[in-house]
Amino acid sequence: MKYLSFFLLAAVTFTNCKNEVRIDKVLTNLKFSQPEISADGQSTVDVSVELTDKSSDDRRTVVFTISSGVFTASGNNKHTAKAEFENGILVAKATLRASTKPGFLVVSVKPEFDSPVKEFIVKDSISAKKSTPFSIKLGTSSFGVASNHLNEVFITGKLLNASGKFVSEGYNVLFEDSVLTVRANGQFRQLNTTTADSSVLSAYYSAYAHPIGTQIRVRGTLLDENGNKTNITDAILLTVNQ
Amino acid sequence: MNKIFEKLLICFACLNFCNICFGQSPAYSDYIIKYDLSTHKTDKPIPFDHSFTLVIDALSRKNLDRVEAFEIAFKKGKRQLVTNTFTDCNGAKRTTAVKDIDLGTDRRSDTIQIFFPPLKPNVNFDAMVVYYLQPASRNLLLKVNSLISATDATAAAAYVTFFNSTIDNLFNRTSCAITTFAQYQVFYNANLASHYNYISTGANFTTTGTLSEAQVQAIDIATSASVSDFRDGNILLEVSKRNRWVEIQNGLIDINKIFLPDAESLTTLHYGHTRLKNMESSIAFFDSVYKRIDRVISKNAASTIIAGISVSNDQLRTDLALIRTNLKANYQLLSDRMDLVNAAINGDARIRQASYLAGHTVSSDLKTSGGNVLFLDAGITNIVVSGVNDKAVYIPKLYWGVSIYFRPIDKNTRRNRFKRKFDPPENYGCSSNLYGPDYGIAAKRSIWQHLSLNIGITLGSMQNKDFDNFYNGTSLLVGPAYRVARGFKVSAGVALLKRTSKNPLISEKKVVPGAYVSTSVDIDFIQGLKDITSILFK
Repeated sequence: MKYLSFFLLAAVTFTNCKNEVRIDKVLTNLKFSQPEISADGQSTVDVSVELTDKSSDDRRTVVFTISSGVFTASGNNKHTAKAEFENGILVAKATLRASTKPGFLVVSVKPEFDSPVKEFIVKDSISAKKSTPFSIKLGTSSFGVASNHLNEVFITGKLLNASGKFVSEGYNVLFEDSVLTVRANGQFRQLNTTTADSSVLSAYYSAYAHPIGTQIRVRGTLLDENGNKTNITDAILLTVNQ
Repeated sequence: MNKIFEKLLICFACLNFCNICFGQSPAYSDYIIKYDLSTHKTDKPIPFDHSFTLVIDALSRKNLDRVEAFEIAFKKGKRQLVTNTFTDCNGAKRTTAVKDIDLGTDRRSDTIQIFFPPLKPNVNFDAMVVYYLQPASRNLLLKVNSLISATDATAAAAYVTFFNSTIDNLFNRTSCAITTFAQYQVFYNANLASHYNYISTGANFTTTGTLSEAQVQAIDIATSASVSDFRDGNILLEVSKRNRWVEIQNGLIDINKIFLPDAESLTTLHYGHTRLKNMESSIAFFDSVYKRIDRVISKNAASTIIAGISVSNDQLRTDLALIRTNLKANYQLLSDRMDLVNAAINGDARIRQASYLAGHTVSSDLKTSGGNVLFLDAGITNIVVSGVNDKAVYIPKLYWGVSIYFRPIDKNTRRNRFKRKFDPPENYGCSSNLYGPDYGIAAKRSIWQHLSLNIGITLGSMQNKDFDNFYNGTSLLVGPAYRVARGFKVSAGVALLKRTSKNPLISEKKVVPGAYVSTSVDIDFIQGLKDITSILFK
């Protein structure tokens, strides 16, 4: 009995060695539902992370954080989600919407409970592919405009990709006016000609002193990186009516 | 040189004194226990870890050779001596019974009082009280000697009778190590043959004394008239008529048995022990007759007339004196030789007979008087455990627990009452058939008398929020404990408690081991202090 006692004591003592909790014992399998996303500010992707099945019921909440873009549920770059069992696996999920900035979106997940031991964070990234313009559509607040700058119309332009979704930031559009083949000499104000968070461009337009009935063509043309006009263009006609 | 000798003498005396200490004395014994030889039971349980004196009133100390203790083991329900395999002085492997301790006895007592050193708990032992041959067995052996000396074919059978007489009926055990007649013959030829050759040679004894029938009649008439009626005149007359004066003086016949047939009364020269008895009887007879004649002479009676013939009383006295002198001289010669025979028998340790005492030290209950296995303790423990951030956290707690000893202990004993170690066995089975002593049953100073397994539980809740008690508001302490003095213990080992998990997803606290060091006091000791304080502050 005496030797058995000492053996048990020794065994218990040796189990008291320093033991680190590895991150894979906390959070694993941070996954995206698709390998890449379009940086159009509209596309979404599901992200999920697995929690150890030994998690306590009151410790199953995790915080998702994204470097760019937003989570659809919270509308910002943080989202708190409670894990639930799916097919016997404890999974926490979130849906993120890409921004219009191309690059990599870094998603990090950590437990909501702040451990005094260390930070338990898992990270992964997804490529946000540039959303390139395919078409532009102009719109106006009015199809009639007063002569001699007596009023303004609000001109909008929307750049869309081939899927009909927005394009990434940084695309420039040139607004021009013309009467027949010559310049109409109208003025644009508050020009918003570069795509940013959205693909909507805008400007206020007032017409020169043209006779009533004159038709003014306002055209929006996508410029390339060098400032040259491309074939992606659209135009609207405004009629001088007073 | 003398000073060196004195110092050596003092050292020798000190060593002997120490030996006596271990050899026990009544003053050293903690207990006196009486042993009933008829039931082989003691009047109280034999303690362990305490010296004691075993008193056996039914055994005499006379003829005692030695007392030895043997460890006993029960095998298949049989009580057997524990055997041991050892290498003897010839380098041969031998397996035989192990003598555990040589025990001392009280030399001042007529009965046997055996001093036992502290014994281990729960040991079975037999105390073997070894005697030189007792009269009955000795006479049987002397008869064997006489038969061998006389080249009698019945000697072998006589030896079997002798050997059987040395076997203890209850224990079926004997201390006589010469188990066969052939072995004994070797011993006889080497040690006894010369003595028996001597006593069986008639020429070595003087047998010249005689009395005539007239002298016998004169003794009867003279002493009956002057002293008192001489009733043994017929004995003397029978001796004279049958002319047995030589046989009387050789001790071949007891004069008082002269009327018995020769087959019953007459022995041969080989039977020294019988002759001595005959001579003793005859010497007493002639002493008596001699005194009666002296009384006659002292009354100034010079002679007695028998059938007209004057028989001188002085001559009578002279002739009687010759017979007496011859008898006494022969007795002395024979006695000396028989003493040598007995000395030779006593000198061989193989020829012994013994009484056996069965005993066992008792710790049958978990708590006996003074000694047990489980003790309750209370004290303070200091737990050091790794925190959630791997830094050591110190948690002092009160606790109480139980100490489980690996052997029964008696906390009333002291370390210095035990020997640290014993001498190695002296006898490796060469000079005697026995091996030992190996001190197997003797308790010696051992760590196991102080070391125990401490199992304790802490009291009170945890102040540190990262920790919680192991179970039901208590944390568990398990580790070895060492008893200091009577009731104090120091313990160190593993503490089991609960700590916040390092895994942030787990809110339940998990059981973690820590280290603890504690000091505690025996609950009995506390109770004793409580009793004292209640008296003081009454």
